[in-house]
Amino acid sequence: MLEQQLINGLMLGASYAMVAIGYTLIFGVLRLLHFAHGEVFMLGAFFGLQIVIYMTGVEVVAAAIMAIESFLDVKGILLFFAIFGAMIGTGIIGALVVFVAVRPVDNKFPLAPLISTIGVTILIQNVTIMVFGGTLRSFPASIEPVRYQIGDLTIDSVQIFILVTAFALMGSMWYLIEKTRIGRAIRATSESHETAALLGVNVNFIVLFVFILASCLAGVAGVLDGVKNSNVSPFMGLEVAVKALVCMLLGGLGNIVGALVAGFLLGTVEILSSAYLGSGLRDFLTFSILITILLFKPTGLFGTRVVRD
Amino acid sequence: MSAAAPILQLDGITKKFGGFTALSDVHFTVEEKVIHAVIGPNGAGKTTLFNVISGMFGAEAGSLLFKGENIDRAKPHKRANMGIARTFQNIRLFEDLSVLENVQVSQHGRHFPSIWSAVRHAIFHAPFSRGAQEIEMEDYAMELLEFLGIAHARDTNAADLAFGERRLVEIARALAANPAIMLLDEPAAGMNPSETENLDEILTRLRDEKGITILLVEHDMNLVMGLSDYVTVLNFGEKIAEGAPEAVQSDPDVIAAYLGTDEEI
Repeated sequence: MLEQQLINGLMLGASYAMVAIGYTLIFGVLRLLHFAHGEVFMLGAFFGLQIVIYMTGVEVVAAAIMAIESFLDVKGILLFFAIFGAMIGTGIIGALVVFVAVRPVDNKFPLAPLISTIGVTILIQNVTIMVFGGTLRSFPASIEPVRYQIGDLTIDSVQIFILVTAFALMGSMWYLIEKTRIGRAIRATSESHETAALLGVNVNFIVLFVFILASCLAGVAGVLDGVKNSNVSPFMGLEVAVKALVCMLLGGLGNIVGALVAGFLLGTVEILSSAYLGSGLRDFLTFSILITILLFKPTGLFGTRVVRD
Repeated sequence: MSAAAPILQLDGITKKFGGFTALSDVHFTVEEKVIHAVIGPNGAGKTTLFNVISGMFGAEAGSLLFKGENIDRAKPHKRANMGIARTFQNIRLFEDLSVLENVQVSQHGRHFPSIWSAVRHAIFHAPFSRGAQEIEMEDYAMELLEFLGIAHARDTNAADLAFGERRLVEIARALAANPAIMLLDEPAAGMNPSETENLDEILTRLRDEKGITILLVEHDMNLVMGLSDYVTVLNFGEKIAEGAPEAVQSDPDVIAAYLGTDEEI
C-alpha cells in the first residue's frame, strides 16, 4: 500500500540525502567531486558491522552490553556504539583522504584531485576486499525489532531508529552550517578561498573540517543502510555514490537543503516506481528525471550556491 | 618620530610578474595612527603593493615588518589575525551571506585560536546554545554596523545591497577583525560626492576615535589631500616622492608623473 511504500522511500531517501549532503559540502568548498565518497559510505557500513560482531562475539563485552541494556531497560544500545564507532572511523578516513589525495595534489588542474580521489576509490575497495573478502556479509540480527501497527501501516523500531537518527543528524548539520561560526566560515570559504583567507579564515582547516564532517555523515548512512538491508558488501558504495550525485545535481550544486530534499524525493520516486511500475524501470526513471532537470533548469531544483570565480 | 617601531615597514620590496616589474625596490614606513595614502597613476603598482602586504603573493626581494616583526613568511590568514585587514578595489563580499554574517566572518580567526577549540566548539557548544562569546561577537559586529550607518541592513543578503552600502560593509568586515592597520583599496571609487564626504568622516573617526592606522589607495585627489597625514607616490613600481600632502602636490616629479614632462609633449 502507498503509506508503507512512502516509509520505505523515506528510508532509502535518508541514505541518499546523507551522502548527497557530504558531496555537496565538499563540492562547495573545493569545487571537487569527491569520487571516493561512496566508498567512505561502504567503509562506514563495514566499521559498524565489525563493531557489532566484536561486541556480540566477545563474551565479556556482550555481557556488559546486556547488563547496561537491562539496567536502562532499552534495546539496541549496540547500534549506538556501531554508529559512533563508524563515525569516528570514517572521520579519520576523511582526514586521510585530505592529507593523501587532496592537499598534495596541485589545485591548479581541476581534474588532478578528481583523478586522485578515483585512485582512493580503487584503493579503499581493494583493501576492503582483501580484509573482509568480496562476498556479501550479513549484519547479525542483534536486535529483535518491535513492530508497531498504525492503521494499515507497519513500522518497526529499527526503521524508526534509522529515520530519527538520519533526521537528527541532518538537522544538526543544517544548524551547524547556517547558524554557527564554523558554518559561516564554511559558507564564506565556499564563495571565495582568497577573500576568506584574507579575512583570517584558515582555509586549509575548513577544507579538512568539511571532509571529516561529510565523511562522518556518509559513515553513519552506511551503518544505517547496513542495518536496514541487513547485509553489507565492498561494492555497495558505487550505487549510493551515483544516486547521491544525482541528488546533488538535482538539488543544486553546493545547496545543502537542496541535496536533502532531492535525496528524499529520489528515494521516494525509486521506491514508488519499483512498487508500481516494476523494479526494472527504477534507474531509468532516476536518470530521466536528472536529464530533464538538467535540460530545463541546469542550476537544479533549488538553485546553485556555487558561482564560477 | 616615536621610539616605538613603525606599524609597517617595507624594505626594498620587489615584485615581478614574468618580465614585468610591478614593484621595484620600494622602501617606506607607515607610522601608527595616521592616514597614509599611496597614490600614483594607473599601473603604478598600488594594488600589487596591497597584495604583497596582505600576503596574497610573496615578493621576490625585500622584507616586510609589521610592528617590528618580520612577516614575509606568514600566510594571509595569519596576517589577518595579526591585525592587517583589507578591502578590495572590486568589492568582494560573500554575496550569499547576510550583512551581519559577512562582518562576522572576519571575527572567525580571532575567536578560534586552535583547531582543537574549533572542534570543541562545533561539538559541544554549537548544537545547544549561543555562548556568551557568540553574543558578544554579534554585539560588536552590530556596533560596527551602527558606526558605519548600515545597521538597518543587518539581515539583507550582501548581493541585494546598494553600491555605496557594499563598500561600507567591506569596511565593517575589515574592522571586525580588530585590525591595527587597514588597507583600503580605492574606497571612494564609484561613490557620489555625499557618500565620499561620509567616507571622509568615517575614516577620520577611525583614526581619531579607534586609533586605527589606515593605508589608503585612492584616485580622488580631493579626498586624499584633505584626509591624509602622509602621502607616498609610486610610478611604474618605484617610489618617486613622499611627504606631507602639500609638499607632494608641488613636487615636480609627481606633477611630471601625472601630467607628463615638457620633453614628452
